[in-house]
Amino acid sequence: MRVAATAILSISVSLLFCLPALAATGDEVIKMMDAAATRASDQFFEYEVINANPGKDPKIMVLQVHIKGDKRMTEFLAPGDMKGTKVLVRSRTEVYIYLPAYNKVRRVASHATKGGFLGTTYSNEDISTITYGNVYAGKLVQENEAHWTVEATPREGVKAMYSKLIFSIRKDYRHLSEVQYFNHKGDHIKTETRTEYSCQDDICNAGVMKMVDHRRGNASTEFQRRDWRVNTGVSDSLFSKRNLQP
Amino acid sequence: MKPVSTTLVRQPLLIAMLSLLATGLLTASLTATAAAEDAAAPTEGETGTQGDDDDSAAGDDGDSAAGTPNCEAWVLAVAYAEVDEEYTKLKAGQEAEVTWKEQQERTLQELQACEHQLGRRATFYYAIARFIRNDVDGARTLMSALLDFDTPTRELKEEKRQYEKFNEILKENGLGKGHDESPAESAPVEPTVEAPPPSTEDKLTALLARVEQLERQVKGHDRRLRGSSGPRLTVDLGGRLQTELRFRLQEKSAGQWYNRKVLRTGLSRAEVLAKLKAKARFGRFQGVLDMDFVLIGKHDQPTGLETLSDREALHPYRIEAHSAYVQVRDLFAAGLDLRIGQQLVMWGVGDQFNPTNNLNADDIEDPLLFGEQQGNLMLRLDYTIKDIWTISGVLVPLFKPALLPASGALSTASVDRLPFTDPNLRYRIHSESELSKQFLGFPTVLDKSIPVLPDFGADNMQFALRVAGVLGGQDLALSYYRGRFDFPQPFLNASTLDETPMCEGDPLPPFTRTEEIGEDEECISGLIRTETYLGYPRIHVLGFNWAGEFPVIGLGYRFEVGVYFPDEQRLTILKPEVPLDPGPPGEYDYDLDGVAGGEPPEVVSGKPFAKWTLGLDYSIGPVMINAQWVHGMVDEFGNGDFITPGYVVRKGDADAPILASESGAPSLYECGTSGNGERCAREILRPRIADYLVLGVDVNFARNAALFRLFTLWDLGGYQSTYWDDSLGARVTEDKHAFTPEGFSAVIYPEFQYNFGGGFELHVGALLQFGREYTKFGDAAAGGHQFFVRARYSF
Repeated sequence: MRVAATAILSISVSLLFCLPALAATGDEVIKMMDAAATRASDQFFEYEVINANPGKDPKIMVLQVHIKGDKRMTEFLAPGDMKGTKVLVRSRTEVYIYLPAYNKVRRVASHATKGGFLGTTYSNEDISTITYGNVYAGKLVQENEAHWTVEATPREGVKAMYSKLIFSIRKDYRHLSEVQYFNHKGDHIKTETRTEYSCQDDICNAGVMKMVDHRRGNASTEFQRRDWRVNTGVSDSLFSKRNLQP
Repeated sequence: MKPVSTTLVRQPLLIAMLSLLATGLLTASLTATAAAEDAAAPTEGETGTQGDDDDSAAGDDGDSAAGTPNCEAWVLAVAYAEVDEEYTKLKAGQEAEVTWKEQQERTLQELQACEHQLGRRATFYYAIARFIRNDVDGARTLMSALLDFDTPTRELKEEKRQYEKFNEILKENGLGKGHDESPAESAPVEPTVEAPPPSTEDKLTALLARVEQLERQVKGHDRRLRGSSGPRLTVDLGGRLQTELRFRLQEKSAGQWYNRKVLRTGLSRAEVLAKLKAKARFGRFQGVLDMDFVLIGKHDQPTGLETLSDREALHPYRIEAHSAYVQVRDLFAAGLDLRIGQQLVMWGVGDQFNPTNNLNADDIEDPLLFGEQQGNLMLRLDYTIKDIWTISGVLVPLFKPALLPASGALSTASVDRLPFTDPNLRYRIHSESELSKQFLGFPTVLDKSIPVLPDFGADNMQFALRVAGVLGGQDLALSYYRGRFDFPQPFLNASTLDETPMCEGDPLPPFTRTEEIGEDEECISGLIRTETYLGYPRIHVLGFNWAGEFPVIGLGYRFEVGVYFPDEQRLTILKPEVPLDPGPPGEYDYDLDGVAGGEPPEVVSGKPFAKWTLGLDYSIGPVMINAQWVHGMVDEFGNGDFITPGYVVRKGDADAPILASESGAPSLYECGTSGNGERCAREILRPRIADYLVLGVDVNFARNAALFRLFTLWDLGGYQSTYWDDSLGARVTEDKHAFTPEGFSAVIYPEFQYNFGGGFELHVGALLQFGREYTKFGDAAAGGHQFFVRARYSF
């Protein structure tokens, strides 16, 4: 889950001192953003996920996720047919799911994570991406007082889901405010916005993340944060198969 | 609050705050932090609850008093000593190195290490630290005040460092300063020489007032946290309501007119299921309940008028307890979990076909829920090492048999499916039965099948051990199970002779026949009625599970194998006195030595055999494909597969004229009385452990709201027809391969599911089973084609 969309600099710089931004390259901006996104030693989120399709009633999911490093433990609280389902990601290729209906922990191969995330406009890759610099190279295309605009394209020899991303990065938080996604044909297919930031210590996070899919009549998925805790000191043992079963 | 020293005001505010806070804090922490907290003034809104809260917090420190290291004091000392050091350095005019972040992390680690001893107090400290850091408004206020004090000539870098130190102070403040100790009193303050500008003092006073206000907030927050940070009872409820209607699309029957069993077309299942799932947790303890209450729409024919007063007979129901257990985590040692009660232990990594899931009995009562298992009372101990490897031991005091589908009763009409491993004995009994039926008019029927469960006792307990973990990215597990096979195998056949004649056209009782017997109407002299007693052979199973994925392409694989070591099982036959049989009633003469008895024939060989599942799965966009090679279906048992010959009879009889002809061809009389039926018997066989290909496809669409699933199961085992060829003077075997009309057998299971959101789902589908009547899925006992519709609401 992209919970950790946390581009941040310390409050001391961003909130209080409001340093004038120094000229930076696109890669440097992405590097700053990535550094800030991985600042917390662990985080906990609870989200209400609202999936809206034009002309249809929105569907709502509620989920909780713990993140520590590359590891994630997600539990669904609603709707009832998903309640109790847990997903443990120990690494990119070591993923487990606990399905209460089968009372069984099942290993999930990584092919299953290549599609959409539970019918939302987010793909599994969108959800799980925390840092970008290892996949995308950045080019600073615009800068104003509040934002950097960086065009990111896949690094040579690296497989990426998108041919181009256009980041709009807030200077105060060093965090994304908008991402435009382009497919390999060059079409602008999705737009994600991140708003309602708040900070805990030197770690900031968007309260609302919304992805609009332009290919599906602007169907959208909105992650509304209901709870957020950072550096909770959660033990590594939470991220084990032992904790998947009730 | 006491007036602030004017000397302090000349110092950077940082020094003032450190001196105010650190000195007192260090003292308090090294002595009696809890006592200092007890003395803290109540916060607004907290009055009246403080005393209770503090009492409970003090009670949590019992571990320290027991002689174990005092984590609390030590951890606090670590935290505050550094603050004190900073203060000392600054006071001496040295450049202080700000390491608050590292210190914070280290302190939290120390707290974490002490978590077992500190219990809820550790959580309390975490919470305070969070509180302080979360108070952004307070931080802004204080920081603004700080900037006001500082001269504008300061370097920005220094300001930043001061802010970080300020954060440090806030953090330390949150770790439990005693309020009753006056900062001004404890600070090593030099006498004032000249008065500071009043405006500055006012600002500092206001600042310190704000600090104190924050401290009070911390205290209030602290008490609330302490009231809730210990083990609390949490209860989580969920469940579902589900209605299902199922219709049989084709009539299925087995047996002859005198023992025919029929499954009619029409409604075959009507159920309303209410599932309740509850989980209650209190610290390391939890209880889990998962129960179904099922209202059964169909009921049996009333057996009398009294049935109409029997509510349970007319409104039948059942209760299924899938789970009802209590669990303790970290029992005696970290990683050691104990679970006692009704539970499911599913160790197999295969999808639905799991030869290593032997602890729980299979539940194939509903063929649409294939792969389900029944909960059972167990005692389970798991020890997890480094979050990766788990050693498990399970004890199952009570044996539970497999639940069989209602259509399975039709298999009792197939009395020709003799279970003996010795073909010559089968040929002999086929011939004797056919002779008895054709010549004497006494066919054999199976009246009753009586399962005999193992006694409750230590020698009938089941147990299993397993080591599982991840090695090189692969999920690996080795297991051992000692228990019983949960599908019954016969160990005693007892037959009696019923000499009541009957004809095909006879009406059912209480009516009596008034019409003449038709010319083509078949009649019999009576029946040889058999009762079969069924047991559950002991087995040892060595299991191995392996799951992972091929790199790069992400293709998932899972392999599961169980090597079974069964105890041999033999079948004793008790026969009635039958005309033409020279022997007396009693035990069958197995070895044809003219004396009743001998060693009963084997129905389960003691030779080991293996069952396995090899599966692959892959996704292409919204389509997920699952393929499995299944070697041995859940009900298949005994040595014999494509590697080692060994067969079960799917159909058998004896085909010959009753009396010998001039051509010298064998006669039924000869075969049925000589003890050698080889020249008359015909059989259709299949391997005891057959092979199947499972292919499943899931297609998600309508943004995952809709799912079309096609699940297919192909019987690859093939069949063999064996009979006597008089021209060759020998028995011959003809193979009926899987993809010939005679050997074909398959299940096609299409299903459409629509999820309306909010927990509402609708499912529509069909279970279609194909094949001749002797094949695995064409068998009447498999139930035939069915259509279903299901509505479900989960909450």
